Amino acid sequence: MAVGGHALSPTRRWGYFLSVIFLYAWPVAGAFEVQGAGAFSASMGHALSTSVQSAESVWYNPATAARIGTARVTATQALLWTGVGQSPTVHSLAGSWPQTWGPIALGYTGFRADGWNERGFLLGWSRGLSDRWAVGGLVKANNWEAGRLSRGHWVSNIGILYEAGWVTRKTYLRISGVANNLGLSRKEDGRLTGQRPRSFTAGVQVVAKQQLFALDCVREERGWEMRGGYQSELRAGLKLRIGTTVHIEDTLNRTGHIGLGYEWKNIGFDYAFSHSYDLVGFGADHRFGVGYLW
Amino acid sequence: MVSMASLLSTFSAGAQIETASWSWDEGVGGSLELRAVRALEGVGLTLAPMPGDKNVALGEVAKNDFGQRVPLTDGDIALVASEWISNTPNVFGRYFTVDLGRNRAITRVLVRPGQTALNQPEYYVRGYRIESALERDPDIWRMLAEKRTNYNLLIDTAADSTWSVLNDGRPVARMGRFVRFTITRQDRSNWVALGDIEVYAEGYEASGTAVLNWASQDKINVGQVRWVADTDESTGFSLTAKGSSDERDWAEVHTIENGGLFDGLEPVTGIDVVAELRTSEPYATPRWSRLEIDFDRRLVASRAVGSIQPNLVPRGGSSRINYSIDLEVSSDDYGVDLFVLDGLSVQLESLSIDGRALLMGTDYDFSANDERAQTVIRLMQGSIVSDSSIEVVGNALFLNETTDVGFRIGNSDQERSAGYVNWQNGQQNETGSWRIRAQGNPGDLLSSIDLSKRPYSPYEGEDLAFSFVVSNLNNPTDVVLSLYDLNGNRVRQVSQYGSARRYTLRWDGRDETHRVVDPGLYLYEVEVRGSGGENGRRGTCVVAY
Repeated sequence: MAVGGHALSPTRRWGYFLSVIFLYAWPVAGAFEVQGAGAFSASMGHALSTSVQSAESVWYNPATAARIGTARVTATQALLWTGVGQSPTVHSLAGSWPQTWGPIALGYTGFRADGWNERGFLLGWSRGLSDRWAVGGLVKANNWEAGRLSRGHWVSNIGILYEAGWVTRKTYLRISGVANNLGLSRKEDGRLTGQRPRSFTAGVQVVAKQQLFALDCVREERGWEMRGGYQSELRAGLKLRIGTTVHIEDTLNRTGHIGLGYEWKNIGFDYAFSHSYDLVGFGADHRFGVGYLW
Repeated sequence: MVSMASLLSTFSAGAQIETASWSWDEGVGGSLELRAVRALEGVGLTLAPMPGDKNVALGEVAKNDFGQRVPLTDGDIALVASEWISNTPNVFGRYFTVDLGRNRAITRVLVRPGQTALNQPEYYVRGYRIESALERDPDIWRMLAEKRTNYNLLIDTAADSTWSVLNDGRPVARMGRFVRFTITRQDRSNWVALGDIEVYAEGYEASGTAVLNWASQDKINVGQVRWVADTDESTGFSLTAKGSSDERDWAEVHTIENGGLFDGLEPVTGIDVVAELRTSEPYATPRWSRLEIDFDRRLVASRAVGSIQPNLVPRGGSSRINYSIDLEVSSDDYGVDLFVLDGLSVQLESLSIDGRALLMGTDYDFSANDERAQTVIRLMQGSIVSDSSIEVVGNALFLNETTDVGFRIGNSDQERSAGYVNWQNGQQNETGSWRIRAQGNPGDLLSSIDLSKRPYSPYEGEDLAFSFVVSNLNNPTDVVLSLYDLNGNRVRQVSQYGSARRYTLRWDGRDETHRVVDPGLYLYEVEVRGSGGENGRRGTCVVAY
């Protein structure tokens, strides 16, 4: 981690803080990475690898924190698959704090259902290399518990963000690339750990007047996922978001998302409704988020 | 309760199975009646060739060029009722299509005039074209016969030499399932009246039966039924058999698979066998060359009759039932130590012989199979070798309006000597009934789903069992369990075919490529195909290891 010319005390302070967190942290397995997203990211179809509008984007690309600019924190509570008997719940927290030596991102998520308990902690750091280029990395500590069994792992993500800039007079473009789950351990003692496989994400975001389009393409070991999102500002502070996610593996799962966001002073409220076109009977996902901007 | 070992004895049995065999080359024991089947030396029984005077269009569907049915294949030309009248002159381009039901080797087409045309001869067809089309290419028409100028009331391709393909002056058969007759020449002043379209073909009959009646000298317990029959994708062979004194209608008798067990009531003193030979192509026929029927003159019991109580139960739930079986066992018989209760999966509560209760696990054990609706009871201390009354009490689920039950008896010594249990099918008590009626509301289509383990590990040697009850389902269909990961990707699908009953679908924790799935939370969905998705049950299960 590159440290600037500032006094070491803030670094040490962060170091102690993070050590305490990760000392008690266990890895999070696959479920989290899909379900732990907040209301903002869900309503944008999870196409967030190029987003600099929410602290949630650090889950998708750690380099985005370099462009967020101000300290932000977002908390989400979610109810998933409401058509099943006991719907899984997710609660998550994501924050980004600018530092002189590069923004620090922190995240926590918890996923719980049917005796399955999963938690994850995230620490990310990013830095703008120039006006156009930013890089970032994060480490995640993941853990699941079920009955008497539990398992934990560390993985890391590395991402870049490129500000292509104003490609037309009214259109701004961002491009991203992310390598996910590096250094993972898919197997332990000959058995799968539950950790999601390595994947690569390429994303693009187009910002036009009061509108935002985003598209992410994720290549995983056994399939593809296409994510798309659109945001339009209906009136001052009120935003409508529509997204879609298409997961292509052995079978196809197409999910539609719609959500609203409202900003009041320094506080933002988000809601997302998601429903699978292919798994209709399993019901919808509801995500509620609240954020604070310093 | 006391151990019933004293009531049971071990009976040593030698191999007693005999085989009656029929090889059609070597003649037939018993009487053989052939319908549309012939015996060929060195070949066996085949379908009979079609007689030249058989109108294969008779009774089949005929339609006009608007797709409406017309009475041109009913074998009648009666005024108006069974003829087609144009009701207009200038009949030109009108056509009629006869569907023969399968491909035929067509040799002759005959179009009879309607009664109106017989009364008014000017109602004849001025010109015609006759074509055929194959089953696989129904839109490609091939010429059979054509006459551009016709003066005859009766159109007969055999008489007017209009057949398009000839060999040495004789018509060559043309394959086709559909025959189209088109009026090709107009008449500006007269109508047309058609009576019937007849089609003649060569090749084999579409189906035929061979009925064999065989009488044995003694009462016998019939075993496996085997045969040698050559079939291919266009031909078929099936066989049913019942005892000579069995009063059931043939429609109630199940088809026997090759090597399967005789299905009728036993013992019998004779067997009636009905074999059906079928073909879907004119020149293809199945060949049946041999039949073997195992039988045992030594019975499991001289007589086995029984009944079940009650015969009326509430529908949709579990009810207590009582099987009563009376056995007459002589010293010549094997004796009984195996029972199969057919039609019901019964959770046994008690089993008694002559009023004395047996100990489960010591004197007997049982296994109930929901999928086959069957309960197997095995006596562990020996066989019943004297006249006895058996009482079986247990609980069974009743979901259908009617449940037909029955029972079979067997002997494990006989099984060891013959290699298979030659079950002797029990008979219904004269005063009792083997039919149980269920009344009331059958309940929801699907019950709640019970999972055998939470969390589940594929490495512990057991499958994860999803147990539930399907009620209110009259027609059998697929009951499907689908498992998805949290990406919504379907990792596995397992299914069972059946109607209303208890189901246990098992998942081994592997995906479609037989790879053990990742630990995690999985979504499952149980659906009854054809019932609409809203009737499915969904939930989550945990895989952890």
